[in-house]
Parts: sequence; C-alpha cells; structure tokens
Amino acid sequence: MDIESGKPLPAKALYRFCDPGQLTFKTTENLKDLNEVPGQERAVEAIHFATGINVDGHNVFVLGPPGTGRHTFVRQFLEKKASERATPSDWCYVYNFDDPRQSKTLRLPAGVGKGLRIDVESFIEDAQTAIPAAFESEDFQLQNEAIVEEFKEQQEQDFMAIEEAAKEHDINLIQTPNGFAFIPMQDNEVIKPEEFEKLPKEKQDKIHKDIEELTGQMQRVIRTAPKHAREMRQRLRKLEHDVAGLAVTGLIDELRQKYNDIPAVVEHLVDMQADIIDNVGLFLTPPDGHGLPTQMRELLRSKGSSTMRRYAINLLVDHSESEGAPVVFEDKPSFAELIGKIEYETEFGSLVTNFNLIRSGALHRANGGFLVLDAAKVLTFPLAWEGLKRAVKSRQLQVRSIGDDIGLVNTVSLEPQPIPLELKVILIGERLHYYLLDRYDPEFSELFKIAADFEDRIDRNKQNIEYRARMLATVVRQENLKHLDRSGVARLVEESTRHAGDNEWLSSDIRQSADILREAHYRASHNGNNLIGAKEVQQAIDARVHRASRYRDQMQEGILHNTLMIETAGASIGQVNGLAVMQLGGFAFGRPQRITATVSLGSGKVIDIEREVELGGPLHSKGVLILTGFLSSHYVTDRPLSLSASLVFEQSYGGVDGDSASAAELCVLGSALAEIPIKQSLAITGSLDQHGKIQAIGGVNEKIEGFFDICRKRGLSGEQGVLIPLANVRHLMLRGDVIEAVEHGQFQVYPVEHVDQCLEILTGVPAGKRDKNGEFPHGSINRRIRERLLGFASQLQAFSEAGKTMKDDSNASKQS
Amino acid sequence: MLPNNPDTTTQQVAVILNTSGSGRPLLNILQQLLGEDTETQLHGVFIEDDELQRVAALPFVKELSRLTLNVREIHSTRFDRIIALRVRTARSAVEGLARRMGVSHTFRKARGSTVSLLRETVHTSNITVFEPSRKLAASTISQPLQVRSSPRHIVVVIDDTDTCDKALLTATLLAKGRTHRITVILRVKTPVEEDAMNRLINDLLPTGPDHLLLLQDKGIQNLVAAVRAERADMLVLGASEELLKPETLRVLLKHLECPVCLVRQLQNHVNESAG
Repeated sequence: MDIESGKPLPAKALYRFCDPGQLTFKTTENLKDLNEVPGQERAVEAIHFATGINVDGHNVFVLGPPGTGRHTFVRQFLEKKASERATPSDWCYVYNFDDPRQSKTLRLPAGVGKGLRIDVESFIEDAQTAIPAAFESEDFQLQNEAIVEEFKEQQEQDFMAIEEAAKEHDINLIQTPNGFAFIPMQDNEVIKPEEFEKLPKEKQDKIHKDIEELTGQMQRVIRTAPKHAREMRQRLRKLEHDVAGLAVTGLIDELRQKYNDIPAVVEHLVDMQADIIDNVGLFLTPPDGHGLPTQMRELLRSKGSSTMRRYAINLLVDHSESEGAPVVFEDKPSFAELIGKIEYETEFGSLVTNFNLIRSGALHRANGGFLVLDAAKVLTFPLAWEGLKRAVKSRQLQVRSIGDDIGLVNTVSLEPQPIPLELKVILIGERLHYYLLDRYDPEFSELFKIAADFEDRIDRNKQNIEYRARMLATVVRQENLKHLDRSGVARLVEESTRHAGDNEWLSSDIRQSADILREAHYRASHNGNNLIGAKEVQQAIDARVHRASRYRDQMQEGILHNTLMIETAGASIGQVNGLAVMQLGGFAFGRPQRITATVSLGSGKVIDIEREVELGGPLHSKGVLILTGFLSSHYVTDRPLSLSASLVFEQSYGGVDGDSASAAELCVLGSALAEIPIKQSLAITGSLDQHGKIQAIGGVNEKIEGFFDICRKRGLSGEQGVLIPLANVRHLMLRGDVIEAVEHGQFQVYPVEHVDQCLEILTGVPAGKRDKNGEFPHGSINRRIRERLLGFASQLQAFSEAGKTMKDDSNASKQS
Repeated sequence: MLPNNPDTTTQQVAVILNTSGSGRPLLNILQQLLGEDTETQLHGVFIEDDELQRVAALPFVKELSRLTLNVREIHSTRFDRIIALRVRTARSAVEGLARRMGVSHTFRKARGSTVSLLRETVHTSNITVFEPSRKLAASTISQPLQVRSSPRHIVVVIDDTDTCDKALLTATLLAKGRTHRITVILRVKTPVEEDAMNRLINDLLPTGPDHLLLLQDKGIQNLVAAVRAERADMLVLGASEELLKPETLRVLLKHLECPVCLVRQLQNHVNESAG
C-alpha cells in the first residue's frame, strides 16, 4: 500500500476489509462446531502440562481478559482429560465409637458408599425388629426372671432367718415409716411399757441384748443387699449382652461377608456390633415420656432417634453415578462451599452436632479430579482463599466450620479425621489478580506454579477467520439463532479487528462477537430475514453504540453550541486541537481538546498547568518534560532556554493522563514562539520523543472519529483532517462515514513521523532543516522559533547585565 | 368414714394408702378404672396402723433406717410428724387424680387395725384397691422407680361367688382391652362348677385368657402361692364374705407382692339391677 509520511492517507489505508468472497462457505450452517480455542497455543500447552504432571504445587492459574473462552476451553479440556482417568474413591464419615468427637473416615471404592449406606440402614432396621423380638422371647423372659427370683429368694431367706430368730426370742420385726424395728411381744401382742418395766432386770437386759444382736444381723443383711443387687444386675446385663449378641451377629455377619475385601468397613462393622450390644437399650422400648408435656415427649423421641443415628453412614462423596475423574466448577466458592461445613441442630435450647451433620465441600467432590474456581470470587469470600491454600498445601481436607476456624463458635463441635486430598485446582482470573497474588502472597507462587496466559488477540489470517466463523456457527446452534451469511461473518471479523485495535489481528474476546451476533439475530428476525447478513450486524453495532453514546452526544452538542470551544476552521496562534479518548464502561469515544500555549521571557521553564493543579497524571507530565528537552536541544543548544511558557487543556475539568498530546503541545508551543497560526481545521495526536519523532498512541480510531463527527456536523470543508503517528496506520479501522469522506476528499488523515512534519502541515509553513552551519533556513518555522528563543536569551542577558551595572553604581555611590 | 348412704347409681372406688409407701402405683392403676366411667366417686383412705403407735410408746425400741442403716430411737412426736407428711402427700395425690379424671372424691385418715379398716372399706365400695405390706427384701433394695400406668400381667380369680363376673370385667378393664396379659385362676370343687365358670369366661372374655389355671384347693395359702408363681402385676378378686375374714385378709396383706383389687357388688346395686 502506498503510504507516505506527511501525505494524506488513501481511503483503503483507513480500514482493512474482510472480503466475503474469499470465505469458503456460504453460510455458517455449512460449518462444523468449534471445540477448540484457536490462537491460544501458549495457554493450552500450559494446561496440558499442569494436568499431566503429578507434582505438588502444579496447580494452574488461567489468566486473561474476560470473553476469551477460558471457561469454555477449560471445561472442555478437563472433561475430556477427566474421562480418561479412573473414578476416585467414595468417602464417608462414620461414628467413632472410641472418640465421638473425631468422626472416622471410610475410603471406599467408587460407587460402594451408596450401597453401604443402604445396607447399614437396612441392618439397623432389622436390628430394631430382631433385638426387641429376642428380648420379648419366652426364653429370655424366663432366664431374666429366674435371675431376679434367685436374688429375691436369697434376700427373703436372709430376712426370714432373722424373723425366725427374732420369734424364738418373742421378738417381732415390723416395718416403720422409715425402716424396721424389733419389738418384744407378749401373748402375741406388743408388750406394753408398764409390763416391760415389771419384768426382772435380767429379762429386760436379755431383751435389749437380743434386739441389739438382731439389729446387727439386720444391718449386715441390708448391707449385703446392694452387693447382691449389683451381682444380679451384672448377670442380667450379661444375659442381655448374650441375647443381643445373638440377635445382632447373624445380621451383621452378612454385611461383613459382603464387605470382606474392605478392611476398614469390616473394622467399623465390628465396632458397631460391639456398641449395639453394649447399648442394646436403644433398640428396646423408647422413652415414652409419660406424664410430660407433648413438646417434651417429641423432644425425647427425637433424642432417641438422634442417638440411633450414630450407626448411620454419612456418605460425603458419592461416585455411584460418576464416570472418570470429577470436574467441579464451584460458582460460589465460599469457605463452607469449598471446605465443607459442620451444621448444628438445636436441642433443648443448645446447639449440638454429630457426624451426620458434616457436609461436603467442592474440594471433597473434586478430590481425585479437577476443581475450577473463579479467582475473584475466591478472594471475595471471607477466609475462602486461606482455606483453599491450607487444604492444597497440606494435601488433606479437614472439615471445619468457619466459626470454629476463627474461634467465634463456642459450643461442642467435631474434629473429623482429615481426608487425603489429591486434585488439581484451576483458578480462572484476570491478569491483575494473578500479578497481585504473585506480588503479595508468598504462598501463591508455591501453590500455583503454572500460568496459562490467554492471548488478547490472535492473527487475522485465513485459518483464524475460518475458526471464528465456526465459533459463530457453534454459538448459533447452541442458542438456536439464525445462521450468518458470509457478509455477516465478514462484518463481525472486521468488528473484531477494530476491537483488537490492530488491523493485523482479531480480538480474542469472543463474547463481544457473540453479543453482537445475538443482537443481529434479533434484527434479522425483525427484518424478516432467515439469515444474518452484514446489514443486521451493522444495525446491531450501531444500536450498541447508540445505547452507550449519551455522554458522547452531549459532549458533541456542547462543542457545536460553542459551550465547549473547539474551532474547526481558520487559524490561531498558540492554539491547536488535540485529541483525547474517554472510556465509559465498555464504550470509548474521542473528544477534541483545545490546547493553548503562551510564552514570555523567563528562566526556561514550561509550566504544565494541568500538573500544577494536580489534574495531570505522571505520564502527561513526562510528555511535557520531554518536549521541554526537545525545545532546548533542537533550537538553542548554544544558549540557555530563556522562556517561560504555559500549556493548558482548555475547558478540561477532569484528570488528564498519557503522553499522546505531547506532539500537539510542542506544536502549539512552536506556534506561540514563532507567532505563526495553526490551522484549526486540523487536529493532532501523537507522542513525542526527545528527538522530535512521533510515536504511536492508543485509541486512534476513536480520536479520528471524534474530531470527524464535529467537523461533519459543522460541515466538511475538505480542509479538515487529523494528524496521527505513522506507526498507528496499521491500527486504523475507521467507520464507514469517515472512509467515505476521505474518498470524496472531504477529510484527511495524515500519518506523521516527525514533529517538523506536524508543524508544516499544521501551519502551512516549511519547518526547515539546519544547514551545515547549523542554521535553519530563512522563512522556516524552526528559524522563527530559534530566533525567538535567541531573542529571549539576549533579553535575559541584557537584563542581567543592566541589573549588574545598576548594582555596581549603587555600590560606588555608597563608597563615595 | 365412707358416706353412710352413698349414691346408689354411682360407682364407689376406694384406694387404701398407708405409711409404708407413696401409693403412686395404686393411683396409677385406678386411673384405668376411673377413665371408663365418670359416674364414679373416689375415696382415699389413709390407714395408720395402731400397732405403730404402740411401738412408738415403747421407750427402748429403736428404728433401723432403710436408707442410711443408722439405728435411732423412736419418738412419738417424730412419728406423728412423718405420718402427717405422708397423709398430706396422699391427700394431694388423691385430689390430683380425681381432678384429672373429673370425678368427685373424699379423703379420710383412719387409725386402727389395718385388717379391720380394710374390711370396713370393702363393705362400702364396689372396688377397693390396696397394696400388701411391702416385703422386707423388696423394701431394702433401692430400685429405680418405675411408674407403670397399668399392670401388664393381671391375674383374676374366678370362683363360685356372685362377684366373679364383676372381677372378670374389672380385670379386662385393667388390661386395657387386652393389650396386657390376663391369667384366670379357676377355684372349683366340681366339674359342674368348672363348666359353668368356663361358660362365664367365654361370655365375658370371648378371646379367652392368656393363661388358664385350675385350682381345686380353695385354701388362701394356695391361692397366694399360685399368684406369686404367676408373677402377677395385679390380682383381681371378688370380695366374698369368706375372703373378707380377718385371717384371710391378713394372709393376703402379708404374703402377696402385687397390688390387689377387690370387687364387690353392693347390696343396693344388686337390688336395683334385679328390680
């Protein structure tokens, strides 16, 4: 393409068309679905490596801008990878009969957990029937009663012996309200006190002695009663133990045989069997709470059923329906959703828990496979990031409530045994998140060693255009939209190129294309078309711009009404049209900016008013300092720079940053120094280096279009145009109306590479190059600038000498 | 004293309470009977055996505490205080039960011979429930208190008296419509008597008893032995004149281990029914 620096660009240089005729398909209906992400070889290779290596810390951070297909690719890739792997183990929590606080884990082959849970539930149901039946059997009742009777008879015999001994001495044993008493009898009646007094002293003493002895015997018998009762209870317990054992063993043996090849299960069943036998009362008549209020009775019943729950199996991870390794996408990666949690129930007004209330987290479900998380969300939820790191680093998963973790909950809780953790964590986030974590979290680089960096843009070549078309076809099919014809695809490719900011590239932001496609589908339906063409795509793009451009339109209106003063005709000394870009949400637009400069004799300082009032950013200040350096080195190397200049962005009330206005600032300063007017029909953007070269800037399309809009609304004169850095030509993807105006000679875009070109185009006066004597030619703008600067230097020198003479005279007069 | 002229259409139910226990098991059993018929009057009778007062008057008699095994002297004043407390508790329990069941009630305290007062009460009640003296062995063992709302094994004695049908009906009532076991003891002398009683049982107990025991000897000692062998939770008897003899009642009070329910057809009831 014929592009010459300093000369207006031809229309074809302003846009890179995508020729529908070169596309190999008629409509997207002819294209296959796209199941890959083209142009992301770097990221794909990283993910391949991370998922292939089985070494600690090789977890992945997938970084890149949103809309680049990171989630889709990661999902497709991992699901394929996971399907090739073995299905991991099931995990259960069971009651720890030795220490109920430390619930035990059971690791089971995939899919076995569900069956075990059902088997154990059935076993308990059977036991609830079998045990009471055994205890209600006649054999048990008879043996039980025999033990009790034996005890009672023993006791009765002991008492009867005492009674008989008492009778031999005419003494009777009677019950008193609180105990017993031995009473002397006379003629089968209790002896009267006066008759007792009449008895001889020896007789009375004997009665006293007999009663004392009988009382002693009675005390001994009573003292042995608790011991005998204890023995009886032990025998009863042993009987119950034997009967319960008999009832349970038959049932549990079936289970033990079934799970014989899983030692942990067998061990748990043995523990369970022993516990049931020791606590056989749980399986007998539940406490009926007779006489208690209804609510209390219900609580008692629930307490009884909760005690029975100790035999349940809490199936934490169930892979009975899984094929291959799990791939878990956790949309709400809070601490509890990641690590799991321990829930609580209220019981008699207090919070209680048990192992059945342990709930799994995403890490449990993903164990043995892949866990995909959104980095921003993980960082947002309190303690989630810390919990994730702790689990991944320790390679084990300890379920804790977040309250326990930070010591907020002060109630009885559990400390379940940890579960070994073996998985890959894939974080998906933006680059900012990655670099911040890398900078500020020392553990991050240790745990997430692999960065899968998705490209912002890909080559705009034939193959990638075809991939893009297939991607659009895939979206069409997935969302049941209308297919695109070739013109529609071509227009979307062009828009993607503009979005990439370079006509050699396509943007990786697939979401933007998909959004336009959906809106174009709506337009096509509205237009009654079966296919989406370029027209519908353009309508969709225009509509999106229209919806977002309220502020831009208001701003342009302000310019047209001269509220914001921007001249697009005539010429002015010390005033130039610069160009800025404003970004509001997802919409960027260009804004012409009037930049003015004033100069006077001074000490070589260029005042950047934006910086003085703290509206200018550091990059802008840098640009101003560079142009100051250029002024002195280019024009007055042999004299001090003796000017005072000030630069300002007129009617700018917000912050200014970037150095894209430094070329404009130099030109306006040159105009002020040379006192040569600048054409106001032109605008300029570009960054300046210390040698006067013009460097590339961003947002070139928006800047050109922003100035063009003002010119078009005021009427295109043919004189109007924009100066842009030559390096930015490849970024041009201008709107159709701008291209049309250029084609008709109504508007120009000048690529420039040196400030001299800028000065010449803006003023219409030759810039002039130094001759062999180091002088600029007469009539050139550079000579005028140099002469003005030399003049300032001479004035300053004269002023200094005059000041010195006056000082000497003053001193002389004082001496005389 | 029970009312001299009780309402002839009202069921008179009496419960005998004494110093040796709380009487709670008895009152729980009564709940079954009161719940079925609101036209009932409940009479609580607290008997203070006069033998105890005589014992308290003896200066040298000492009491061996069941609870602490300590030996201490007996004083009449302390005895009176304890008995007053027991009476108050018994009165409160009877009042509570009557209020719960919605029946009218009376309560009295009587001092004298337990046998005499028991006979007196039985003569003026349709149903009398009492508990024998607690066995010495049982009374020394501190067992967890198991309050049963109804006895699970009821033994009812059927003989040739005219109250045996009432006894059988009362036993059915106490067995909660047969949710508990009923054992029938037939006290017969001849096969003819046995046939007649079997017919009665078939009429009143169509599903038959859980266990039927034939007892040809009518001696009270044998009956008590049979009831103890059955390990009954409750004994229901028709209150015949023979049964109400003091020596017979003394045997029941001394040797039985379970509560006893004596059922009697009051004279004016019989007349009314006949008319």
